[in-house]
Amino acid sequence: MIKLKPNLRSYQALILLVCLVNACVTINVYFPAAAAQEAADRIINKVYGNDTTPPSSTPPTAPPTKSQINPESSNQSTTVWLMPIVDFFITPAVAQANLDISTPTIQTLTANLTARHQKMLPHYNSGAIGLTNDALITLRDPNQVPLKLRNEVKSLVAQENQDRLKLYREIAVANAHPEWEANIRATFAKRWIDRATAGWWCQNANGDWQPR
Amino acid sequence: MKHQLFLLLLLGWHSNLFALDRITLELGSVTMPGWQAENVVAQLQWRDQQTMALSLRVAKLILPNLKLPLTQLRLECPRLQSNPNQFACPQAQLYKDSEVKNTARKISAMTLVTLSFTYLIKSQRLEFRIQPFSLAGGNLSAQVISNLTQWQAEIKVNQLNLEQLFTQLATFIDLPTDFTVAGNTSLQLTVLTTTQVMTVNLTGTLNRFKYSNSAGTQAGENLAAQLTLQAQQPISTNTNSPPPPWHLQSTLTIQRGEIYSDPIYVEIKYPDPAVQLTTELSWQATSLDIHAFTYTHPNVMILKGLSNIQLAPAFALNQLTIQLTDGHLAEFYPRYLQTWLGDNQSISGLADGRLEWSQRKHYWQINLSHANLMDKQQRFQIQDLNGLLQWHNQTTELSSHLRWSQASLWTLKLKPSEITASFTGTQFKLLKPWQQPVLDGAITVKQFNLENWGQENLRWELSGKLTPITMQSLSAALGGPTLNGQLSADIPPLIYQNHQLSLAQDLRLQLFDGNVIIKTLKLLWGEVAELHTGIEFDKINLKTLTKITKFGEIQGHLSGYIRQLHLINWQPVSFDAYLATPEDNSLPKTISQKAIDNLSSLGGGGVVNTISKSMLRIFENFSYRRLGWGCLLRNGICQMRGVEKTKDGYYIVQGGGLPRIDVIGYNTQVDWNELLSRLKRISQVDAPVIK
Repeated sequence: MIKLKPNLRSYQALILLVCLVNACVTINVYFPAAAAQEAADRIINKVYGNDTTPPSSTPPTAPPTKSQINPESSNQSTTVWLMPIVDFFITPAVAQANLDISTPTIQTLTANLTARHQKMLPHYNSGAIGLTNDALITLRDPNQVPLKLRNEVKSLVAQENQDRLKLYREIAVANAHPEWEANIRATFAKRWIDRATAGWWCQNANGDWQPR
Repeated sequence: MKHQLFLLLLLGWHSNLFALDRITLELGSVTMPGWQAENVVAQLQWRDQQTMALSLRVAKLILPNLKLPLTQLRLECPRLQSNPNQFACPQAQLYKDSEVKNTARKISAMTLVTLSFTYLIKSQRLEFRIQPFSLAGGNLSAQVISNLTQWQAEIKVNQLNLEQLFTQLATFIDLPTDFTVAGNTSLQLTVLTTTQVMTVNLTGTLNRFKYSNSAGTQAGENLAAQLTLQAQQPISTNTNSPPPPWHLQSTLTIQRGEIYSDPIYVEIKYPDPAVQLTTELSWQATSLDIHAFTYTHPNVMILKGLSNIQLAPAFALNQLTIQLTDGHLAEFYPRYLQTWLGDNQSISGLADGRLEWSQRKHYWQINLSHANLMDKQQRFQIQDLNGLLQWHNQTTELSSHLRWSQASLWTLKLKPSEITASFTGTQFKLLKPWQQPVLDGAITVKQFNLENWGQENLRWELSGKLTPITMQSLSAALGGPTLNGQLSADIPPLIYQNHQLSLAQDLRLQLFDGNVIIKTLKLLWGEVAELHTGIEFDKINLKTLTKITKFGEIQGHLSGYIRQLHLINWQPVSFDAYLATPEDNSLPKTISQKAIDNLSSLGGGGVVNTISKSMLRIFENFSYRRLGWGCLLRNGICQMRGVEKTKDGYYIVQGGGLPRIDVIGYNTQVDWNELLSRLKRISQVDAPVIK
């Protein structure tokens, strides 16, 4: 009669194998909020012609240093000690420092926004143009614009919004994450307003207009 | 109330019968159709047999259209004359009483208006006058005369400030919040009502007049204008049927000011002739029928038209017809279109046109006569443009035809030509091939179809032919060095769709006595232009090519390719290029010392061996066996190669015969920008020549 006597190592190896086979591992790639804010500020600095260090309204969320693993296995206690092992084999997916904003398309769009900003500046100052809470601008009070300039300002606002939408999309695409477009746009929405000059009209989260 | 007041007056007239000296009538609340009065107290006091003092107090007058009731009103007529023929009050005053706190006199009275009235009993004629009183920075007076068969009201307003007026009115009535007006007005309004018809006459002037809707799409500023209006409405006795329509005739004359009707902006400056709009229309609650209107801008244009507009239950433009005559484009464009379409162009000539708009049919046409169009940056111009341009939203059979006697594209002069095409909906199509003579050749567009004009999914397709243009005439026209040979090509279908321009087949050009084949062209027409293409060169005559540059003369054939060429914003990102002497070269193969020197510069210097350098000082031209140069551009670095490898480098020029000279490149990698600057130096400045 042969008696099998499993030793401790055999058990651990078996558990590890079972866990790896049964546990469906999900790796969440987080949107790099801090990097996006930094990228937004660099572009906004160029557009507004302001090279001072941007004020940080909220401390940026530090990216997780390890991959987030959501095992679907119910054996939590077993998987806890497995995490370092899995981390060893799977490079943390969120370890990203910067967003690339150096592609020719982004550079061109930034240059367009910068050139156009100077033309629109008097109309920001008068309150004719306001910054919306969705990262665009609008002609909120056309009556502040002399009649002769009204077509031109309307055209500038339309072109600006087109370029801004392209910019958000291009940043997402250039960084190989088209699904980040909405997050990038949300980041810009906040930073355009945070960096606006005092007196410019901005839309708050409720959609109400108020001077910065 | 009317009857009660009349009773009061009647009592006053006959008071001597009762030997009364004062009558006070407390009527409490009086309700009549259209108004209600509370705490009404009327008092008559006899001064003599024919004269009384009338006092009428109303604590609260409620009118349905007012947000607030009028309170503490008091009418005082100190000398009300009465006799069997008439009642008359030569001067009465309407007061607004208000309580004053902390003063001995607890009531203060503010005179609102001074008025007078006369009532002739037999004829039942009433004459009622309000003396001029201050209102909104100006003054207003009014009079009403009525009898059994008609009544007439006349209101005169002098220098009324509209902004103040509407501010005051806003206390009592709800004014539209999406429309504002300001400025001064003086006007005279007469309303005459008979048993058959009501007639309104209005004449007025506006100064510094300003208006705007809240969206800012309709606005005017600094306007000075005169308005005359006549309106008539038949009196209907049938209360069950809707009121008969108003018939209006008006003339608006604008002397100066700015008007913006999105997207059209026009400024009328003094002393330019005034702009005039005359209108004849019928209006009722459900529809507006403009029988005729004429808009005259002297020396600019005349617009005539008619329209039918449904006002209720929903607004709808049923019909609009506008005829343009005497359109002087040199005046019309800067005055009406420049702020919309930009000031990059100047245009002159005459235009007539027509617009027809109905629920289903939309059509316009423009007749151009001796028109000239010029780009202010002198990129293009077209002269003596004549013809008919027309568009329909459905019909495809309408053809447009334009011809011109002269045109230019940059420095290239274009000869007379004509084009026949159709515009339908969002489509444009050439109805027959368009040939544009250019120098001693021509460009022929055999086919051009455009779809989805003005839409995101714009698509067009073009194919044609470039019939030979001699390089001599082309170089003369472009102002460059004289070239030989000719330029010709079959233009295969060129397709633009999804913001991308692509060639359906290879484009073959005859250039520099050889052939150039452009393959697989794809141009992304986005914010950043991005081009992917490949180019093959076959037996380009180097003598012809080098003659136009300062590179130095080379004789022989050159063949090769630029493959996987990728440009972003017209800057190369990557390519694989190789150009060399072909195996079947049939031309003499010589190279000048200047060309050798430049080729050595291209390779970074120090590439010509020492023996060869000494040769350079002696001979002007050298024979070569073959020459060639290649560059593989990746990540900003050009990896260079030549016709054959040497021990340490590669031959750019492999000499042949005597004296033999070789140009050998040793640098295999060079920064692309550095290479570009070397090429620029070579092409722009004469490089030093070693002698």
